[in-house]
Amino acid sequence: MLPLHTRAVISGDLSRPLLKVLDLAEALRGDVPHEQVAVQLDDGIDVDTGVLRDLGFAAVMRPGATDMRPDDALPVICGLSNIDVVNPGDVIRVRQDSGQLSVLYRRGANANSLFLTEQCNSRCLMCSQPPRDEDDLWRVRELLDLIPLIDRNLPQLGFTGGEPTLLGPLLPELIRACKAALPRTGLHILTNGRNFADPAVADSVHEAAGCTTWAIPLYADVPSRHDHVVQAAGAFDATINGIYNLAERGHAIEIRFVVHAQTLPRMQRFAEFIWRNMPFVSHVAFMGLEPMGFAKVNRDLLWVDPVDYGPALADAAWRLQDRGITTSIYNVPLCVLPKTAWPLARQSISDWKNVYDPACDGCSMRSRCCGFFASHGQAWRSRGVKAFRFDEAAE
Amino acid sequence: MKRNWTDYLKQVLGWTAPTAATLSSIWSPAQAGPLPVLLPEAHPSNTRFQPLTFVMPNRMEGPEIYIGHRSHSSHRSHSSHRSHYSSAGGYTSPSYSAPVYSPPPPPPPAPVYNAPSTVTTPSWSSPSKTTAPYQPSAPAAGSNSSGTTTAPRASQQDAIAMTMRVQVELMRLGYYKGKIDGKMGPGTKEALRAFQHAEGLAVTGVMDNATLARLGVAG
Repeated sequence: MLPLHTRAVISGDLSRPLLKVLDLAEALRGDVPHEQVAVQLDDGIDVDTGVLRDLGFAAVMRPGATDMRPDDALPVICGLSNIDVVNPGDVIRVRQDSGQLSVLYRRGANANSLFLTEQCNSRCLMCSQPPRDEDDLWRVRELLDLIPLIDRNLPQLGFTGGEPTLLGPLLPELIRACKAALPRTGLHILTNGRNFADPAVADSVHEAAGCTTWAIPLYADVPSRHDHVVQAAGAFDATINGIYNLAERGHAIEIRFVVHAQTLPRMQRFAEFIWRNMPFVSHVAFMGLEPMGFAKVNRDLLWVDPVDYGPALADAAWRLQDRGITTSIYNVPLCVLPKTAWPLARQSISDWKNVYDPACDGCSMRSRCCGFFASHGQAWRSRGVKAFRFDEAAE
Repeated sequence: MKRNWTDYLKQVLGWTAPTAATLSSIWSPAQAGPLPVLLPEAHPSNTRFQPLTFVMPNRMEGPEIYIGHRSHSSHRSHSSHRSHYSSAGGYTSPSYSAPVYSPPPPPPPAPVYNAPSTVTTPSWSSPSKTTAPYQPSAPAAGSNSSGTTTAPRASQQDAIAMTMRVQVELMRLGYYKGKIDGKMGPGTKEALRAFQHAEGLAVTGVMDNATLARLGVAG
């Protein structure tokens, strides 16, 4: 698991906090404006940094070096506490005062997401990212700087939060920025969809149609259960109306269902509900719990050993898949799922969250398995976790 | 009604044959020619062993904008280039192709191309060579420094950046061990010559398009 933050020694004054890290050859290719590039130099190479300054580069990065060299003519970022955190292609934010260095975009990661806002209008029992009511518009401004620095060959970019529709007109602006800078990148936007119950809001994101999947959680087929899970009265109706408004306007929709004790009782009927009422959705995702945030506080309210819900989950998922709706199971290790569910199980957890249990050592299915969230601990450990021998996996 | 199978077959072949011929003319080695692919035994056997390769041809036809570059360490005029450059929108373009650097417009074609007494069409006007209009004046660029003919030339900034790219690649390939400084010094020239010699290119010691293409730093 590779962290997203580390500390660095910064000498000289950086002109901007966001920098694209590139090796010398790629930096000189000129795909990225020089003034936004930190040129990563390996220890062995002798480069005239004065020339790099004349060419307009922002900084030099020597991850392993302890300090700048006497003849360095540019601001130097060096002395990284963990030199593996940053690699060429990444976009970093450097805090000059504290020396904190954060990776905002990681080249080659299996999932890159933009964190839009901490605000939310729901309070889901298992929320892994508890909302905070703070003015965080600075995030949007930073993202508008970040988006043009992302690699143009990125296949998919996620928007997450918080509830992005609370940004009002800034959400369409971010979508426009992505379409302009990353015309070949698909967007995957996580929202509870409630604000799209207002047709004007649904109209405002019309530019997203065709390049975006809206990932909308729905936790039951009835309002009472869904509203309880998201802790907001009227949420079910608003979400359903939002889904229909988006679908009517040609948007692609993914339905997300987090499996836990509060949603499990309606899971089969939920699958039936999707099939009967929204067969137009492009994807249904059943997800295991991420033991973070509110989920930790509400552990006793939510916990069901995945081994116990595995057969029911396989049944609900196949019920949809068999009827032509693409269906996936996320965040549940293969060993706790019945083998019938394996074809639907995806290896999905973001690189930087993903860990494996000690029991996974020597498991022959490991390369196909999603593993566990880094926050997983004893309280969240299924009794079904085990390693597969080669012959078992071969079946 | 009975179908005439001979006619039907002719029709099918009549449709596929031109397509196949087009495909073969694109994808087979140049010297193979548009042979009918429906008869594979008609191919000269040696053509089958020539793999289809791309040697970065995109740079080859453009103007030679880097061969005249001499990097004077005392040259300070590039600060003016720089301001000019940023006013043109910064370094946003990844391409080193001619239009980006807005080379001076070519001289009016009439005086230049009417001079030869022959009435044959100049080669650059053939439709396949759309990028070639600057080519005729390029050879004069190196010798004629008085500036009467305005050959396209990379700006000082671009030339320095390109020299550094060449140095990086020559270092990666083991031809160059010096400092990456963007200066076309004796060490860099020597490394260029060694590379050109090893690759069977014309040993010029300058950054001509063929060498840039072979180094993979074109465009």
